[in-house]
Amino acid sequence: MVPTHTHTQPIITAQDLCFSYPQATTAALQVINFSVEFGQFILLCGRTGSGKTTLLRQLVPALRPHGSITGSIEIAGQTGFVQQDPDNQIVTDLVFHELAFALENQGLPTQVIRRKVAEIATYFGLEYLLESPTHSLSGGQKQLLNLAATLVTDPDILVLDEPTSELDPIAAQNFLRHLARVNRELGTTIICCEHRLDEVLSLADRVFLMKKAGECVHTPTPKAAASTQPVQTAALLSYEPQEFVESCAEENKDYVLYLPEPTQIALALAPSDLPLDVRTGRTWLTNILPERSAQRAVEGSCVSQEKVSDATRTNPAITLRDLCFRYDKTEPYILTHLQASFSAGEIHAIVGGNASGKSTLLGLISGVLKSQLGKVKLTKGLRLAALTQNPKASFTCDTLREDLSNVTQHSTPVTPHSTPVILSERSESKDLALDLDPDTYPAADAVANITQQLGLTALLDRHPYDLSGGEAQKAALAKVLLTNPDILLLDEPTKGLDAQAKADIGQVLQNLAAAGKTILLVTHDLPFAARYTQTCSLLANGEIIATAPTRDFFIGNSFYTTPTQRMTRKIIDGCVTVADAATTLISQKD
Amino acid sequence: MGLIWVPAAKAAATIAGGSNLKKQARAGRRSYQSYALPQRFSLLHPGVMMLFFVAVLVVTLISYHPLLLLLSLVLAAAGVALYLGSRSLLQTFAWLIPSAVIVVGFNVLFNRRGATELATLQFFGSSFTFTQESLFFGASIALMLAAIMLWFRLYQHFMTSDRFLYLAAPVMPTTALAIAMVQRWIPLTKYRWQQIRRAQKSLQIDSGKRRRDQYRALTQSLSALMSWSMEDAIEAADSMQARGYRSKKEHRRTSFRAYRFTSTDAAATALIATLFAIATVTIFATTRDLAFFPVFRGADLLSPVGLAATLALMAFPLLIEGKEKLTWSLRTRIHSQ
Repeated sequence: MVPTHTHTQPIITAQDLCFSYPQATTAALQVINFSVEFGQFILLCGRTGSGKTTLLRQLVPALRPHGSITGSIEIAGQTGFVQQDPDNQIVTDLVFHELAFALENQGLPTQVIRRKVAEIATYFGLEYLLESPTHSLSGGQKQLLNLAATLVTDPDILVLDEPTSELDPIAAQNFLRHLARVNRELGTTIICCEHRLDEVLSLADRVFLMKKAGECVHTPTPKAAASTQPVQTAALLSYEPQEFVESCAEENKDYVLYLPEPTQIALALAPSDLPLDVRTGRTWLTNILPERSAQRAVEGSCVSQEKVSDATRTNPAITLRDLCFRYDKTEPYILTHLQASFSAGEIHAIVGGNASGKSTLLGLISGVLKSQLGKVKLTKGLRLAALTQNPKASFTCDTLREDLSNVTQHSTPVTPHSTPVILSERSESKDLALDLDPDTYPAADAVANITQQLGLTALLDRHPYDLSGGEAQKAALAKVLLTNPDILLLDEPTKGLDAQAKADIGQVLQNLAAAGKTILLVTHDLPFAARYTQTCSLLANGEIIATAPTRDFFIGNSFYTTPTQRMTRKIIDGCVTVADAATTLISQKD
Repeated sequence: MGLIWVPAAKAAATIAGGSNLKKQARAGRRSYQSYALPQRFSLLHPGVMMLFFVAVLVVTLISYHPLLLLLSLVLAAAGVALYLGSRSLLQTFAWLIPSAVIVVGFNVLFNRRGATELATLQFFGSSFTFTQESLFFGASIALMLAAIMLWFRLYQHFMTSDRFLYLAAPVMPTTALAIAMVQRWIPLTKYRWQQIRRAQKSLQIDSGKRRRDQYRALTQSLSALMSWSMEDAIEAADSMQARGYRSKKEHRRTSFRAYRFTSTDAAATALIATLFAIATVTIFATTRDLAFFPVFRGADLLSPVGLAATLALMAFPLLIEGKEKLTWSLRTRIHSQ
């Protein structure tokens, strides 16, 4: 670090920065003013297309896109850059070589490189992996390696573009913890674009909110204008985290879904002094309910989930009997004598730790893998389709339209009768029932219908790779739905999705289940499972340890459960989702 | 004693069966030991390893004497069995033997030289003579090829990309980096292909259809693989640029890896170089007059010194592993007392 910097001096200053790509009619960045102080942790957020990535790339001199730029941006230091996809950033085959890559480029002597690599590996706890091939690492380890390989040259500023969007929640938490450590222990300035606000908000010093051209009608709040930041313009608003959270009550309403669950609950009652995590959330809750806190638990007033009828229990769509599976005879069993049954017309979630065999189980049910012992029984005549983890793998054509019609050409209808399904309530044609049977509906109609229901119509002529994470996931789902399945298997359907896209997908799944489809999903995303599923199973040690209706399942857990349940446990009974807690508290107030 | 060799044998078996990259990846994730086998030879300096393999290959290539070739084959096979497991040796032989038969067959059929008649065929009025010498010559060539193949099997096992790069990087840094990137790219592409095929299968696009449709689905998957790889390559290029690749042209790329050249390495180098010198000189000097045609002569030309030097050179890995084994067996005995 350069010793001349003091804390009052900004490390990055942008003044009236405008940028437009060559041949573009509208500017990608419009009059942006901000300054970042030395050692700050900046959280950058904004809707898709608001120019977050364009702005971040302006901060990395080696990656500045071509185009016309006006105004000025001054960066007083060296920048490192970490991107979204853990796989694509890795250049070499072995971990130590990856860590050494940037140093090799600088032409440092071997002895210096060795020392720095050893140092950074020890700092991040990667030393036991030094000799491993990079492809054998898990996604979380890969992204940590990318962070370490960037930090090894000791940059003053670290720029990250949605670094956890490809990671499961546990790996994402771990990554962000390391990021916080880098900020606190090394004093590196961090600018991080992230849609998991719930994890980052409590770490950030400031929140930068980017608005699209059409959105910049708001004037900054008086509080924000009075703050130390010199300039506030409509294109990029700078907030204190608490300020930002409070602004979500009014002008930034569409960001409520993105906030941490404790904040959302508090926001439903009072829009000031909001908690940012579970710990402060519990304090806030005991303050709100002072007279009750001594009695430990308040009875939750939420409607209890309707019990699954015995008729469906006795006639399950999928039955698994004594499944045993391993990948190779030299390897241990991943699943041992696994028993389960899943009834039709419901959404089932299977949760469990990393490498507990969740995806393996889906592979066995879909028939991609074959078990060594035991049986997978599907009710006769039911069609099964699976959505893989990476939506990119589902697309083979140049436009989404081609891709979707490709499915209808090739899939054959098997079901004797078809059920009209309304997929999404958000679409304009609320009453339009979707008949998935290609016999009665010509293929083009089926594509048109399904894209309309999922809100994909405007995207039909795009290349599938040009879709955002949420759009791609929805498109892949549309593709699977066009095969007209009765059983739908989903592997991490919410991976990399922002809160709004999650809500959309959850709604679609609920409508499908209501139409009698069987939906089985494996996920790390506990709040999603709590909000949208009927039953939950815990997979651990090769077996399904527990299966229960979702609410009972999460209430029974104290560690492996939703933030809301962790915040309210022992204070209010029976709150699993934000809506539960909010309704309970509001009724208490009355 | 036996206890020590159990993990080694297991690790060797993992590598031997590891033509499947996915399997290797899984093995790698679970146990890192399989990449650092408890073998004395793998602790040597890469330069010493390279010297050994070059020496062994040169000696095998210059010796036409069938006895030397047989010796080379036997010791190479012993090395493969020791380091890669007997299963791997059998797998190698499964395709070595047919190719040897082809080599011998071609020689017998098309090599007309040689004085000792084996058989004569009348064919459309012309006669074809097969000779004993051409059979013998063919067998010698097959021996040499088989021995070289087995030595290369061992070379592949020990000269991993990082060892090769350590030796090659100072001379050709850009090529060295390219090799490392290809090593990274192969499993990545394989993973993408698996993902695409799995997704397509679960969409049931190409199941139970006409063959033409299946081919169409396959070519579509291939083109998807291409565009996916190219799309992601842009991000990889950004990542390289952001980490300063080609930013300062006056700099030479340097390399991280440093193996220490120990006194053991020096001793091993001296030993290998001496044996190599003796073996080549005596083989050149004594078997110059070796001839297969018209009659094989020179069976007696092999000097005992040359034979001994060749034997010692090629048995070098066996010798050092034997020494290691002895050390451990003595130590275990002391501990158990």
